[in-house]
Amino acid sequence: MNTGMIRYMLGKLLLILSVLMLPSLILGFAYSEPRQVLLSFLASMAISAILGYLLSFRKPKTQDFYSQESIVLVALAWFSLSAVGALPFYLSSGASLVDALFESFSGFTTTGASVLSHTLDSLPRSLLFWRSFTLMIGGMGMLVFIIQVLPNLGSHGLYIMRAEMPGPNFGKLESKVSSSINILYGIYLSMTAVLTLLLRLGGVPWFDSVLLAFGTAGTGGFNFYPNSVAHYGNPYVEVVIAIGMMVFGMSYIFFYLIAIRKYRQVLRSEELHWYLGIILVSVVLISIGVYQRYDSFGSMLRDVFFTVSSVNSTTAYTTVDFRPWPVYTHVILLFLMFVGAMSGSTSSGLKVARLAVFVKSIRQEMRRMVSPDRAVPINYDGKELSQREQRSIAFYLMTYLAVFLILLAVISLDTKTFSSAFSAVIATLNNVGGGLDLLGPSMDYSALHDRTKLIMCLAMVLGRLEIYPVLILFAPSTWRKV
Amino acid sequence: MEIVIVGGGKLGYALCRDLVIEGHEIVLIDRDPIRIEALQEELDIRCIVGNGSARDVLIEADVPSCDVFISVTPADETNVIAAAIAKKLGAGFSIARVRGPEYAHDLDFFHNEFGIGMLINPDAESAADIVRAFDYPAASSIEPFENGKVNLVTLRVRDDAQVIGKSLAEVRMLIPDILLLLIESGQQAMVPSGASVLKAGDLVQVLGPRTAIDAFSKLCGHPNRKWSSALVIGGKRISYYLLPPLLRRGIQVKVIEVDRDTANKLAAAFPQVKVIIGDGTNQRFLQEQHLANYDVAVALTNIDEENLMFALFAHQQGVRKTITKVNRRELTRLLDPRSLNTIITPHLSSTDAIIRYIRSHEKRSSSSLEGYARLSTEGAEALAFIAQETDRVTRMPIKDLTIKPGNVIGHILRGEEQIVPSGSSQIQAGDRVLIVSLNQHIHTLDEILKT
Repeated sequence: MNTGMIRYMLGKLLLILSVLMLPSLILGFAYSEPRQVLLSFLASMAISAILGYLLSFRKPKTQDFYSQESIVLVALAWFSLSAVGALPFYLSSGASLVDALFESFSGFTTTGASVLSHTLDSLPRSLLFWRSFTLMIGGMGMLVFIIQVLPNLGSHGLYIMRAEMPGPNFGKLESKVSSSINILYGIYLSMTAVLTLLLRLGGVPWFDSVLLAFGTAGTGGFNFYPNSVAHYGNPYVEVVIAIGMMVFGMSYIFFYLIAIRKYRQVLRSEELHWYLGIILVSVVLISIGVYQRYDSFGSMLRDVFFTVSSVNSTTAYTTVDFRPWPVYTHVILLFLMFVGAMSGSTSSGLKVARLAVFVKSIRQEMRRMVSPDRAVPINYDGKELSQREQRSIAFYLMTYLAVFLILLAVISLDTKTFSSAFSAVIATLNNVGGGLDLLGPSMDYSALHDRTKLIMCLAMVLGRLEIYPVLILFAPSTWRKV
Repeated sequence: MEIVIVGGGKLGYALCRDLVIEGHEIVLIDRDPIRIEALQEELDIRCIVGNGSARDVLIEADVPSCDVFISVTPADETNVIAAAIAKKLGAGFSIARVRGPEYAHDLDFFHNEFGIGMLINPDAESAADIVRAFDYPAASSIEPFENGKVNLVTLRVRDDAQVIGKSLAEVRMLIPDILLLLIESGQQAMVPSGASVLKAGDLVQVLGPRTAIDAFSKLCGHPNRKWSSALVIGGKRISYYLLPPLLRRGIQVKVIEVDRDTANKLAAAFPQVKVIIGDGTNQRFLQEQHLANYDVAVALTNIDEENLMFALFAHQQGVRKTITKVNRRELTRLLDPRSLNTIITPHLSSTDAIIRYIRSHEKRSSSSLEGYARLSTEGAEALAFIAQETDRVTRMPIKDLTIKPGNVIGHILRGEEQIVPSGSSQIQAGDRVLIVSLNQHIHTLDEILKT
């Protein structure tokens, strides 16, 4: 493995990270925040820059860069950027080191789970901005930055794209990886800008609009009011965010196809049908259970749709406390958390595409049992799915379950009830952020043991990178010379 | 530019690789998902699995808006149909590979009636390369420009050459008309100055009139004698293009082919040629066929390794000249260059022709690229331009131009007049100028100048 190249690229990424802290620092100056906050950002930037400079100072001997290097780089990048990104929290807010790490990991992995929510009023605005900004960075991944520093990466960028793009299938939009990723990032940024404007038009202050848009775009959903989006008490804002979460849960390739007027391809996408179907069915089923609690149909629909969209896209903003709702609605929400949204989006979880293939595989298996000689291919999006793709999707589920159970066992050492352990794992491994009964809408993890928090950090990276890159990073064989 | 390529075989792969380096956006269509996957991993291109002559697939690959369409599947018919459909769909320019000898007379028809802009035939071009090697017996390779009026010749300095230890200025004293453009010494290539000294084993690129080149080859230790006999192994398609010109030159040819049907077919087509059925890598069999008595050994089988082994054996047996077809050029770097004379890579001249077309259509300036060839030296290119009035190179004599290191003006063709450029000559509008450049990637004539 070409460790020199990994070191070099990691260094470049840390240099970029230091630049990415600049907006927060400027904001701190603009709001004339205490000197300690400004200094802590300056110090974080300096540490990140120095580390980055030291790592990338010496150019690697060879530029060889293959699949293995990409996977290790992506996994290492997530760990090290999250770690360095924790510095502002640690230096300025008086949070413990573990809490700072937890907050930063939660941001970069677009989880949105927080240990600082009980101190929200006292946090400086620059830090709140940084906290939500990490969701934005983590949403799209590191490849876009790598492309900017190493434009000659060429096809090797493809490996990185695969390693960090959520979902089983992904298509290059353009011939070149670099132009594809630039288009994707362009879409991401412009959708975020549109969302910010829409929120501002609804009367949300600029600062809040930007942060809410970051949280929605990264499908992370850091709250900065204890009662989340309900704080505004504004139906317009709730509807805009609910639709925003649903849209950011869709594959970005769709928006590109819409931009180049290939509407048909979007409308024919099987994953989109499944996605919309799942949302629709969940909304109807939950509505049946909760309609008696509401006076008006409109406000019930709004709350239910908001909750479904929020949980399904793994954002976990809330407008209502769903703990009093009937238990079966919790099960539906749990299911939505497991599945997540579409592949190629910023959401996490299993992805609708994988679910669709599972269901089809079950049907295929049944048909094969009934008539063993029948040819039963699995068609997906009008094309036959190869054995290999089918296998890798099935294996992903098994790996996921194994990792889930191990994490559950470890976290249960420190929790009082089974359900809180369970929801802590699903909240972090699926990058949801909010659990079920453990936390409720306020979702504060600060009471947990430090050891548990660190394990949850690991779980969040596992979830964001779809498990394998992290397992590969820690596998001894990866680091052997031959 | 946006370029769609159908067929990811040897030529398709080489095109993708070379055009990506040139900075283009490539979409590749191939039927084989496994091959597509491998190419997608290696190259920064977009890949589509499908039939490249089906309209739906071509539309999916955005052929209607592409600048260049190239079809290089193994089947000529597919290529012609695909290129014709692509042109009708709106592709800017379409290129098809047609290599069957039976279509040799239909190329104009395809061009005029089907709108196919360029038809390439790597096999015929390789055969032409081999014939040129017979015409310049001493040369390792010959790159023709301006319809063969100007030939860029590559020569190896033999161990017993008189030229060893002489500087270029001394060579120019002996042969005034010769121009040495590039010297490759070991792994190092450079544009020489008057003080550069030639060593044994050096590979030099020279330009000049035929008499000057013959005189210089003599200095390099190559006796000027015509080849009169050749032993060819491999009787597939290239042989059909190669044999007629060799026979016209009165060369005695024997062909060895392992496959009985192929051998019989060839023998029927060329009754005056001795076709032997046998294994061209079997050394005892080759000795039995008097390999050592032939002037030239030509290896044309479809397997690079066999061709190389045959050439090495022929060299060891004392055959003066070997011509070896090698698709993966990197293989030759593993071997002592002195044991191999001429290497032919069929896809190279086709990709060169396509690169020339594409570079000359990226409108960056007025001077147009008329000829293009990559030379055997790694990173070296020869480019023929027509100078325009607006070009800065026409404003002053060559000695006053500040030319970037790594570029040389090799030759000027003014009307019918051939000019060996010297410091006092000045390029005029309308001149055809040949440039040799090392690791520069130039697109226009003015790019040889320092800005």
